Amino acid sequence: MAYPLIICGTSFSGKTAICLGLFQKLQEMGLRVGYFKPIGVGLKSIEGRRVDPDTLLMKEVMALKEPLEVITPITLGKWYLELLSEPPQLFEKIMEAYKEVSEGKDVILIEGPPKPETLTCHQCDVPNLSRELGAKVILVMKGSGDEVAEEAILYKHFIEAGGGELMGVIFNFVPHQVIERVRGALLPALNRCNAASMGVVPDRRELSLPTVGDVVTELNAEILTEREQFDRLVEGVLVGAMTPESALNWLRRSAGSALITGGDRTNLILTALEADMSVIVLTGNLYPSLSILTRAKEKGTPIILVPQDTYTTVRHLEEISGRITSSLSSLKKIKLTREIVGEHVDLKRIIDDYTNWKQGEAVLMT
Amino acid sequence: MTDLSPIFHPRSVAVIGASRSPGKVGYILVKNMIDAGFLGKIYPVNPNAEEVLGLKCFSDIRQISEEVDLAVIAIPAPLVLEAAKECGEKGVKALIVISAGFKETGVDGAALERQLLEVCQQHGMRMQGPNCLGVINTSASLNLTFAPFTTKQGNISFISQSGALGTAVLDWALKEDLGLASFVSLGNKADLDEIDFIEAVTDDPQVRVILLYVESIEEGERFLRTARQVVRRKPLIVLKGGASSAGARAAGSHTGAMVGSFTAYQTAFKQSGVIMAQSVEELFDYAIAFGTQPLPHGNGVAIVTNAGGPGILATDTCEALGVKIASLSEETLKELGEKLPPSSSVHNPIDILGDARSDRYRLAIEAAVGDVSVSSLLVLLTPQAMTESSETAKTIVDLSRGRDKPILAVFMGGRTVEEASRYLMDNDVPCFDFPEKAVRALSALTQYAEFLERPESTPQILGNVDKAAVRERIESVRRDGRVVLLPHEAAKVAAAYGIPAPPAKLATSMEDAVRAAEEIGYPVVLKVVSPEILHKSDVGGIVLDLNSSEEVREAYDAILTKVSQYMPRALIYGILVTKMLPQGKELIVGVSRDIQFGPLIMFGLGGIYVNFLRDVSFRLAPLSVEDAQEMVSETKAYTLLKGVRGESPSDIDAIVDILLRVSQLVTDYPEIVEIDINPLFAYEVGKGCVAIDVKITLSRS
Repeated sequence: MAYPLIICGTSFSGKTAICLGLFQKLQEMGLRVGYFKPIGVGLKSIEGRRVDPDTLLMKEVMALKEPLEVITPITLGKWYLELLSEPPQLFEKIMEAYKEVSEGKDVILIEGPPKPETLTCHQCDVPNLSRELGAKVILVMKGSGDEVAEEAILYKHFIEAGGGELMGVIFNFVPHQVIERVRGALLPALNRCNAASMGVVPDRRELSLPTVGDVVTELNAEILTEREQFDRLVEGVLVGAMTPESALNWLRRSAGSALITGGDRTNLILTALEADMSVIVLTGNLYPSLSILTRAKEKGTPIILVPQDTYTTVRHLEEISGRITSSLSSLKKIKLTREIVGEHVDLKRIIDDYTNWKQGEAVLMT
Repeated sequence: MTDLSPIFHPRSVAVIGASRSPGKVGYILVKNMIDAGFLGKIYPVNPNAEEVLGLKCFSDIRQISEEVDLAVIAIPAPLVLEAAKECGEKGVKALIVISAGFKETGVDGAALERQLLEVCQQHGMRMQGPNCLGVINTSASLNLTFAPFTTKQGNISFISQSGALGTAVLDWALKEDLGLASFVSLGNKADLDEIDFIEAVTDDPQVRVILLYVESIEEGERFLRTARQVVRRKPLIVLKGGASSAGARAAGSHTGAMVGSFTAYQTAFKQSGVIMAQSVEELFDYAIAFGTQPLPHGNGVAIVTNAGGPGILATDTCEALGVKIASLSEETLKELGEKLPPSSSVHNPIDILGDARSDRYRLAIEAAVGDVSVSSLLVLLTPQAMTESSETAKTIVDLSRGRDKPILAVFMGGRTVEEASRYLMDNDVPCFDFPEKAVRALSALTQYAEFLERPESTPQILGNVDKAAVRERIESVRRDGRVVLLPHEAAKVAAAYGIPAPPAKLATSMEDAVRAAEEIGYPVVLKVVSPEILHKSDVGGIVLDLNSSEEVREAYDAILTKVSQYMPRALIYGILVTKMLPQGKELIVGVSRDIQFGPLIMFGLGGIYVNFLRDVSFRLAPLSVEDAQEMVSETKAYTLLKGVRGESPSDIDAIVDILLRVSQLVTDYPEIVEIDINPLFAYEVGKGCVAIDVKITLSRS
């Protein structure tokens, strides 16, 4: 038997990052670790089949032997309620796959669906899984607002009402400046409701921000310069609609951002090339003058072109920001997940619980 | 400094791409050299020709057995690299690359240009161009341009970023019979730029005035250093293309250079004593005035005119441009009164009436020139019935000789004054067709003379600044991945450099805020701290004048409520509690690090009207004490600071001190790219001033 542990949370709270970090840390301790994500979201398509990109990533990076459909037996599409209304037996399907994944493992990390309540109509929600698998739940919450603590408490009640058990809460992607406030105000609120904290993980820009490459892929943009600096982080989005003289101040305050502007705004673009933007996105299919591309090459700033207008492009970037944020595409990011879990997550609590569980198992066996 | 004698005084020149076909650049280059009477050796190079214009032609430069100082390259761009390598192997000292097809054509051209520059650097060759028109040096009988004419010898050196403007001007100079000492077309400035050439022509004894047309100056700080020295020796007159935003866009498309803020250019020129022309016409008007006239000793013009209207217009323009109308001495007035007809006006402008012949001009000019309060003279003539334009011109020329006061003439009209005007110009008296132009030139002469009389100022270095504290603060902000300092961080940086800021504490809870307020002492101000909220007052993020813990609690709540109402998604770091200080005169001090010229410091009247009144002055750091004082005295706010209607004057010394400290801060820390102190409260003399709100932005790397 393997020790099961559910890592769940709200959308884009960094569940996969935490799983990835835990996976590496536990493996280093000599444990045989498995990964299971019973309910995925089919954002990618491989050979006509929906695949959850997180599953794909984990399989690749952690060299998992099980096939994708075993690691993730159920993959949801955009409209999933009616598709699953046929004879469901979803739960049985999950249990079957779990049996296969847990074979020969010491620990199974079970990544939750987009939200703890996903598929609650089929009794496949996190509380049910927790109860049926005998797995404790770690809740990963993103952010630092007061309401985040309350949401965590709400989920604790939800989990317990379904017969599950919460191990603790991790606050993820917390900006440095508000860590003190999270410790001073949010954690006491959790304690008051008997919810344990398992870590406050500071925001690591490398994990929470998309790279230039991510932006290029997501916008499906034409690259006008060379594929240089594509690893650079895109720290924000700035719309270029001011005069070059007043722009410099704004651009400098937003160094590292993507500048979205029209290709005919020559002077603004030249100014931006001096202000250390991560990428310049030209909209409306307006090609810039040759001199700009020459200068961009000298400065090493990528310039990309999209057919949409500026507003649509900005909206598109905002919509996908959560998605590309959680893509753990580079090796550097993967190493970083190990680091943050090692430094900021209460691993001892997990190990202690694992040890206890194992002793319990041993008693049962004898 | 670079030795450019291989370009200006070559002993031997190879023309790579020399041609036998008239009309081709390679033909014209050789022909122009011969026509100019070049005394050194000319080596045409072309593998497909035996001889060009009677000169033996070489198949490649290495076939030339003698030494070659300079090679002019005029072959298609793809072949230039190889030719340059051969020149390097041959030991050629400098190249002029006329060929186009480099950076101006895009990324591939830019790569080719870089390779070309590398070849030059490997072989220790200097390069003019590429994509340039060449060089003319009349004292060496050298015409290395494909402009089909030679130029009269003169004392003006013209350096132009635009080749086409160059050809047009050379052609115009030919028609006007204007002499040049040298002409340089800068082209793409891959290696040698305007600064190198300015330095070179400053050392040329033939050159008396340096003219520069540029669209962009890439190395602004180097330009400033050079210009400061050059203007002490020779006037440097600059016409800057791309002053308007549309013009700047065109210039950007043209050269690919970031054109930079026009304010920074203006400030740089002003601060270094460079004279700025507003048009090509003005550039040459100034050149002629500087090239022929002595500098005035003082500021006082006497105007002699045979017509009232033009005299009045000239006087108006003088007033507008800061040229003072001299008050003539008693003796001069008496002399004029005795000698001129009774209805003349002896007071400056001296109106010698419409019937004035040349003898009356002589009388008036002699009297005016002899007056000690007169430092320059403007002679106006309109063609009237009795006017003797040619005779008068001769009189002016005669009287201008050997004087140490500049004399400028304005002969208005057309055909009747044409010959006289030409005569004046031929004899080194600048003659203009309208008074405004003459006054502009006179104003330029006067300002330049005044600049030279001022002592050279040296940047002020202040002691007792805490560099380590600033360094530490900057590092911690960077570790956080931020570029914008939070208000209390910025205030601490300012304080480390002796810029007083009110005591402040960041609170993250209501009780924190109350504690901070008690510690600081009432009254206090509460401000929201969020990287996303720039204009705090617009979202209700500031509450002033809080006098008790009760009020602090209320304000704390109010700020959080308002902010979450207007900016629900903004991340809030906390609430800053600062000491509320009494109202002073609201001023503003800002810094924006200009991409070309470095830190541009701004000073002006602050408060809510700042954006409408634009009452601001600019200087580039590092500032001298005089610079800082001028920054204050240039503004209209200065009048207010001195005290109006019985108000006590403000502490101007303290303001000057703040400017110097800001200057030193941005000079010591190149990573600080923007500073905004708004408002700076100035109190009355002896009570100093305080930076109420400080914003600082760092560069990313």
